[in-house]
Amino acid sequence: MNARLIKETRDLLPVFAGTLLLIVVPQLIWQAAGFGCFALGVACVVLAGSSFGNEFQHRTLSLLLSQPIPRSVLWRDKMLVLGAALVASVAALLVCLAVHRPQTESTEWLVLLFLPLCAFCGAPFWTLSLRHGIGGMVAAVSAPGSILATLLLINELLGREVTDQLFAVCVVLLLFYCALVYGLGYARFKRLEVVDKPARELALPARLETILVAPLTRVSARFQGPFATLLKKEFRLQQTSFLLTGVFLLIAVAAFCLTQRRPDVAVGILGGDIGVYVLIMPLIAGAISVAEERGWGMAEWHLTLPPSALKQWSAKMLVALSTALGLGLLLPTAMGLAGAALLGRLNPGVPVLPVAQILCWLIGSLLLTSVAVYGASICGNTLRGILTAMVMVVAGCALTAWVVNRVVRLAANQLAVGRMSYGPRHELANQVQAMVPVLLSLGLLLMVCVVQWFAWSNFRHFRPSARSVGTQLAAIYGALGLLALGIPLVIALALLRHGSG
Amino acid sequence: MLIQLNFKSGKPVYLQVVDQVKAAAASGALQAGEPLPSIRPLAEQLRINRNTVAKAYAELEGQGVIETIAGRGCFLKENHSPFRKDVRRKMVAEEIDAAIVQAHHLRVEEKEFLDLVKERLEAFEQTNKAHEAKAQE
Amino acid sequence: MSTEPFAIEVNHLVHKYGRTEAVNDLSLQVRRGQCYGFFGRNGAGKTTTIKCLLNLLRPTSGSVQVFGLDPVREEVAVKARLAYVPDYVAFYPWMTVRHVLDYLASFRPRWNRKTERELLGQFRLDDAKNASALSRGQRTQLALMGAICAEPELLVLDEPTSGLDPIVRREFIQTVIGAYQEADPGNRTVFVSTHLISEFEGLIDEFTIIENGRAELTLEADEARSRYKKIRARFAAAPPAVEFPEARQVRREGRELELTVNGHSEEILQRLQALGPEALTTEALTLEEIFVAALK
Repeated sequence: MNARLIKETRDLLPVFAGTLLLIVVPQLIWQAAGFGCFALGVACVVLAGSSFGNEFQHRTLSLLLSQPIPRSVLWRDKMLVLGAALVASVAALLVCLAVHRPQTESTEWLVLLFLPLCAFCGAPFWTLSLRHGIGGMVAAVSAPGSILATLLLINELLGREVTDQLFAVCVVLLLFYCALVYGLGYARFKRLEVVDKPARELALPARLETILVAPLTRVSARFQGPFATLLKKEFRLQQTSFLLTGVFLLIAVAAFCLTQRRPDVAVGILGGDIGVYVLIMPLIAGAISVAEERGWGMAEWHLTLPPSALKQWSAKMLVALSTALGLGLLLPTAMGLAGAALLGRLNPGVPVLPVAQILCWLIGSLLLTSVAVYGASICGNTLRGILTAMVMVVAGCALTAWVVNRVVRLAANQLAVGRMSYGPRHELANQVQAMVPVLLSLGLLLMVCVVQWFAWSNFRHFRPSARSVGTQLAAIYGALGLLALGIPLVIALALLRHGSG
Repeated sequence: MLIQLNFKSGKPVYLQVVDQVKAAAASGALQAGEPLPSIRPLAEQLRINRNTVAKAYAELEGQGVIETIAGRGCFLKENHSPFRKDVRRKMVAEEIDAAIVQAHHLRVEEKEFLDLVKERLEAFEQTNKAHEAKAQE
Repeated sequence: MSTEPFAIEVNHLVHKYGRTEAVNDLSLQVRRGQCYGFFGRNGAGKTTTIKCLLNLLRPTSGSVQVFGLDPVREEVAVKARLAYVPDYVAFYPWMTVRHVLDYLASFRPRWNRKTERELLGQFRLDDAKNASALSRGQRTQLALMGAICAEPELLVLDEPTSGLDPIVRREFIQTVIGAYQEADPGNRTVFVSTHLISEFEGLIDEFTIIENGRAELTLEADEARSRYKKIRARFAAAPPAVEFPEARQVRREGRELELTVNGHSEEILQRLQALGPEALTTEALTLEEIFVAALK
């Protein structure tokens, strides 16, 4: 029994370490309970989905299931290790929360309890049914989510208020769902058939897909040639992103319909929807572009085709970045504006953001996508690529915050010594305000170039060694640190010069 | 002793082993009292089923060509066969029948066939003489 | 120990996946101690049948019995008596050779450490090497070791030697003969599915050829080799257009006539003799040629 448990633990270890980092580090730095719950949710779902998803990915299911051991014992081993990992994650979050915020409300307790529970019970069933890692996880989140949403909707339609009774009903229903889906998952595992096909793609049923894609095929048929073919292929790869956009739109529309009745709830849902979507979309678009082909074992073969590696990479990045930008940033903005206009809340006098700030947002999205691309280029797997990207982003933000903090303190000390006098306040503020976004966008652009360069070299050489990955990460974070150091310094110097001038 | 199998001969594999052991015994490649290769190494070398080799050895033992000494292996017996004369005649007659059928197919006439038999007998004696001469050296 | 005569018994097995019928009314029997060959084209249904033996797939209809037990109902009892080497060998990427062997040993009550040491030495596998860093041949060797050291009564091999170099292929077969069969000669059954028939020619006692999910031909190897013959006749002038309905295949080329026959060779030879050929030869077929002849 020991050998099996050790193997299960070792299998889940990298993912567990990543999710633990994701939970603990932001808490230590920012103490944001909301982000903590979000990170816990991600952690739970990823862990639960990896438990069986890894077997599919390593193609070791045949080996595992042909051993003379009852399937119930195999299930028990996996669930034991998964449960331990989930409990450890929750405990880590609780410890971090307790350190900074001694009191938590009852609703938060509920969330902390139910996130891991729903993931634990649901993800195995969904992963086994869909035979797809990410699909299973999305379903594991959507299923309890839709149950809750339906309940709230029914409550709305009946015209009742949100009461404790409703909470109780929610809890009971969720517990029932958990028990049901756990039993179903176990039954499914016992009767699992090993078809041994390569990893499936997350897609709509074939007929629906052809209907939706028909107009696009007609348009794209006019463009031929190798680069056009590459672009078409890349867009086809990104179809998971389009599916996710569809889900996002559905939720947004549903929330929009609620705005008449319950504006605060609608705004809350919409805010959460947009927030999660804008953060996740670039990561998914970026990771898919590199990792899916690796996962299917096609990446090497592609590199032997006539179009040069550079051409293939340009096509890939063009599509990934434009998808992330278009779907991840422009679409929500357009929808937000359209929604506001529909509701008549759009003030003509709302100041349009200055170009530099818009540029910051755009380049920020590009950076997120590039980090996801880089993360996927060092892992072979979409999910792990996304996880790595999240960890990298969190680490990057932590590093930046720390360095900027230091520099600001240093600058403040210098200012306090009084070696310079302030000019007129608002003039200073305007100058600084104009400079910051420009410098920020330049800095972000530099980071995009650095990350892209390393991702490109990984793509070309296909299998980067651990040492080269280490060097790359050092270079990336070094550059980030220098930028975090440099930009505030430049601002401080400008302040100095302006002050003394 | 070199055994070579021909999967194109249409003959059961174990019989081929039996025949080749017998041929080796007749030609002097295997001498009386010499050990035969063990079952497992022979099967591995020829890449045939271990049980086929076992069957061949059992057949050889049944025909009195070899004997098994417990703990030491299989050895070629002395050259006098315990079979009765008519049994031995019958076994040779079977071989001659096969040769006659083949000759008929290949349009070798009777006279030519008998000449050929004489020729081959002479050649066999020559080989035997050569071996004896070598053994005496 | 049961007194079941058959190691494997398949009766009118049908397996449908979606709308394709991978296996359609297949029947065969493997006696204990036999080396049974399972030959077929790619996609004929070999892997599907084998997976039904292991409860990796469930039959749509028909029955499968391993040592008289139903793999669906008595999964563990069946698997305890056999070992499986799949066609695609994959191990967990972080495991070393030693870890893999210990992991596989943890499932089995009996594990022969002596055989393990011998085979490790014979295959020259490094204990501490990562399983994912092994070449394909070495991975197959490791899988075979994992199967043999468990000392099962039945060894199920699915395309074990495809993609391996000739030396590794020979060593594989020698290991099956030596390390596996020798340990308990009457009771070690081998069920091998392959399309490299010439490799396993010497090993096979009996075989079944599966085509389109059905058993096309089931014969003992020796009998097949004695029944299937290729008869070549050369004539002085173009041969008369005589029909040979008993022959499986007839090929005419100029003055030569080539017939592939399954039994009935005597009658056909007589009829050919009557036509007065210049030359007439008979040649038996190897199992691989029989395979090709049976499926054409």
